[in-house]
Amino acid sequence: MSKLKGYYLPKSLKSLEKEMEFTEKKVNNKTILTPNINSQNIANIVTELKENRKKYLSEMPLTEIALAYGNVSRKWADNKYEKKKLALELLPLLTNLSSELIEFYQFRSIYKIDEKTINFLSTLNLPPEVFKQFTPIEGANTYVRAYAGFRDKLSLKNISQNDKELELVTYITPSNVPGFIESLGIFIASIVKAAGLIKTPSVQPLFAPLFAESVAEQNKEIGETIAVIPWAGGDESIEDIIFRNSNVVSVVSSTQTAMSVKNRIDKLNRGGNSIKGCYHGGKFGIELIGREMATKDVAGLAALDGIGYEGYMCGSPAFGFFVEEDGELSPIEFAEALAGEMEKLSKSIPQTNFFRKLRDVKIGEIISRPEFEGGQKIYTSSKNNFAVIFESKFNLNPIGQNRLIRVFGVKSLEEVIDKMKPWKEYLQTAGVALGNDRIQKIAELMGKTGFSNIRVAGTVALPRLGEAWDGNYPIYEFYIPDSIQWTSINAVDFENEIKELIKIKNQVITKGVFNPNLQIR
Amino acid sequence: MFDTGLIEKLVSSENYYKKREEVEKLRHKAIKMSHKYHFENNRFYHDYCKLKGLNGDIKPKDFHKIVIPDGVFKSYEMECPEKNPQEFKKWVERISSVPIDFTPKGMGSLESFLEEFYSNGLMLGFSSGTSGKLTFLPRDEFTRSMIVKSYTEAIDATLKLNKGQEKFILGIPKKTFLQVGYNGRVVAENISPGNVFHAIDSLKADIIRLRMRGPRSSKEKIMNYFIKKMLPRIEKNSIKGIVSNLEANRGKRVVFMGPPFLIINTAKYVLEHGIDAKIGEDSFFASTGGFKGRSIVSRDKMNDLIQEAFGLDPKRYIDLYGMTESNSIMVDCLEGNNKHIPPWMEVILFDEHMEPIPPEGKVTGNYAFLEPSSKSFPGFITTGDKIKVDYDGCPACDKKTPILLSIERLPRLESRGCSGVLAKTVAD
Repeated sequence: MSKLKGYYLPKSLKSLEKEMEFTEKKVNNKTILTPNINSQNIANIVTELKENRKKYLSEMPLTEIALAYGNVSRKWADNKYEKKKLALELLPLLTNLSSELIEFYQFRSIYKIDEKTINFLSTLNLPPEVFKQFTPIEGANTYVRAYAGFRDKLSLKNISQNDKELELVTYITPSNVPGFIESLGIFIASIVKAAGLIKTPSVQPLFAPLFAESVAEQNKEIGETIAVIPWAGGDESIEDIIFRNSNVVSVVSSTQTAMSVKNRIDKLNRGGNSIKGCYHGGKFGIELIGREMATKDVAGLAALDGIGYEGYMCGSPAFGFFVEEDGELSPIEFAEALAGEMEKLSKSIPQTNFFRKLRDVKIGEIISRPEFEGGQKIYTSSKNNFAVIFESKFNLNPIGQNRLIRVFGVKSLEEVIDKMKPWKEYLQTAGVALGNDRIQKIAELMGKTGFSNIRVAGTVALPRLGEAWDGNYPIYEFYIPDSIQWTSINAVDFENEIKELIKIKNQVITKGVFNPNLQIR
Repeated sequence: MFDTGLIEKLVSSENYYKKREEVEKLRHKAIKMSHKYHFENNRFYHDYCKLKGLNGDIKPKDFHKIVIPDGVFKSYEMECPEKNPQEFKKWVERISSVPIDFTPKGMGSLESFLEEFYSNGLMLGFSSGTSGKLTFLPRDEFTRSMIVKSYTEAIDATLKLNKGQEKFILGIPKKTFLQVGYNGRVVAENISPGNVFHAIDSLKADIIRLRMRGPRSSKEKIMNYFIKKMLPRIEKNSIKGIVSNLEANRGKRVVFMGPPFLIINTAKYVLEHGIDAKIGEDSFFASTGGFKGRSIVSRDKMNDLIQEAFGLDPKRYIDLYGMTESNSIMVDCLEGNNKHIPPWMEVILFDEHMEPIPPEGKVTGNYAFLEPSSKSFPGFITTGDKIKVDYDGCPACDKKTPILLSIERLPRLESRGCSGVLAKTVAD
């Protein structure tokens, strides 16, 4: 039985690695080893990471970092890459997500981590107009808007991010989006020239070590500034050492975990530390379809959003799909079209039984209500890979996981946005299909309501370069307080973007997700 | 048509000892009959089966597909059913397989609302989650009679009851729609009419809901305050009542049933006060539902307490496993204290991918059961429990049925065993 590392440590910590004890987790015919970290181990790890960072990374030219990550990205895009083959064999067993879903949503997001992205993020300088209106950002196909008070505007104007040296960035990562946040954490730490310490989720300790090994393959020196390890969340004997040694701690997890870390970091900061906490708790998403876009093809893009991470991503449209009346398709026709598109897409991106059964439980509860007899209509697949429910009665209930797609007809999208106000603290992403003449106005309304990520339908689970994230702006959030609310629109020309995405969606249907010619946007 | 004769034949203590294949044939026939009946008479179940591509005629290979989630029985949308009587009735009608031909008025309290249903032939037995949202199971007269028969036959297979002669001491309320209380009462009263002592007079649904979900208004806060003050006294009085009855029956055969925490506290009371409550050696104690909401006492410790306080061989203390959705209980055999799955229940275990596990050897999985004896709702239900079953049967007794080796609550599901309700209701 072959043994795999469910952790990654710099080579300079070889002797420590030999001393550590490990827990074994059997998957298929392989054993994943995860270290049982204690406080002495962690003290050694953070000290070594910081020293290595000073030695290798602090003066490294950005072009060298960009080349390394560009090469990593290209390696993972190659279906023959051994690490990718291993990940696609084992991740489905660890996460219950199908290998096709992992390829389309997780890996294709990683392929975007390239020289262009690094160049953009490392020279980031948002214009002051972002405080007034959605402003196109140079180097990215994105609009950004910031909502802030006078003092915040001033602090943003005054920041010069390179003045503040970051030695260690720690990422605590979630299990619902397996792999993506871990790779993002490793990459972002490197481009701010900090060592990166990644805590992996216990259900899936495999991907981040593989990704870190890929980075080390391309650039040994960067590899010396990364550590990927699991530890028991909330273990203060370990976390206090990590937090005290980190300039930034980013938590992407449940609201409860994020708040628990926040309380501890606030306490440490009151005791004289200077740690920037970035807290990303649980969120729910929504899909808004304007009447001018209520077409069969757009229903296919909406289907892609519903399938992404089986609805468990913080941006997934768990509240449902809201379709304006008086379009080419009526809301109920849109629901039917969505079911048709789900049928086709689910063949290329199948669902495992695990999620199908979870959906069955929820459907049982929904159809046991009397409302089911008074206008709700349900569409399911012959192979049972999804369910689309057209609901006649408007309600906001975030239960749209496991490919349980709920479609509502509405008079106007503005009306829906208004009704989202009580959910403000849980809002983040909306998948949107609108004509170019409406997007700015509706985006402004959404930004004020609390949405941070306005994404063109079909890209909800596929983050893009230049976007805000969860009310913050990547990298900026390491340096400035959280009182500015950032909102982005991830395409400048919505109508053209929708046309391009429809081509990709059709390619997915006809040629599957492992097609090397499948365009990335 | 619901073939009650077939069900009566299936629910019999004799079937514990018959060849498995023979009983399985009978059970499968009953499940197919019951499924067809519910498919034709239950609007929800009809739609649910249609969605799964099933119709009224099924084969055993489809059995794992017909189980419905237990959440169905609390899927109503209103917080207080008694305040929306017509809407609630519509919900009951949708999940029920028998017609409801009366118009509920919703006269004030939840208890009186349930009483209204009961007086019109339908009992809405409940159990509660910590959220306070009650699970309701609609049981018509036949289904209720099956509770009595299933319990009696299961106990009879183990203990050989002296019908009409048994003296019951019950640590459960005399009047309640809490399903576990109802079951204990009707079974005891059916076995020995007039020979049943109830330690608690009544436990109203409104109080249970308030205690489980917490107060929502200032009026409820005041009520909760007084209930909290009052409940320890009620528990103490119950224990005193039980002890007096045990003393009065010193040396005689009695059957004492109650939640485990009440049995423990009664034993402690007897020992602390130096009371002689040694009952006849052919007596037995029965508990159900574990310790949810109370500190757990090990089986060994319970055995010691029971032996010391009541002079009873610990083998005559049996633990029962049942649930609100089921008409049956699994009873420990006296020979090995192993819980036996009744021959009239088909147990299906699902693995972590929610695939059915073949019923062979010792297996652990998410518990679902098919119980054809429920006429007023489909008794084909997935639960929130994970159990380990030994299909090879009991090494200690002659029964031919599989046994239960362990029970645990699946994570993230509410702790809502009926005993948990009682424990939490009377907890400080």
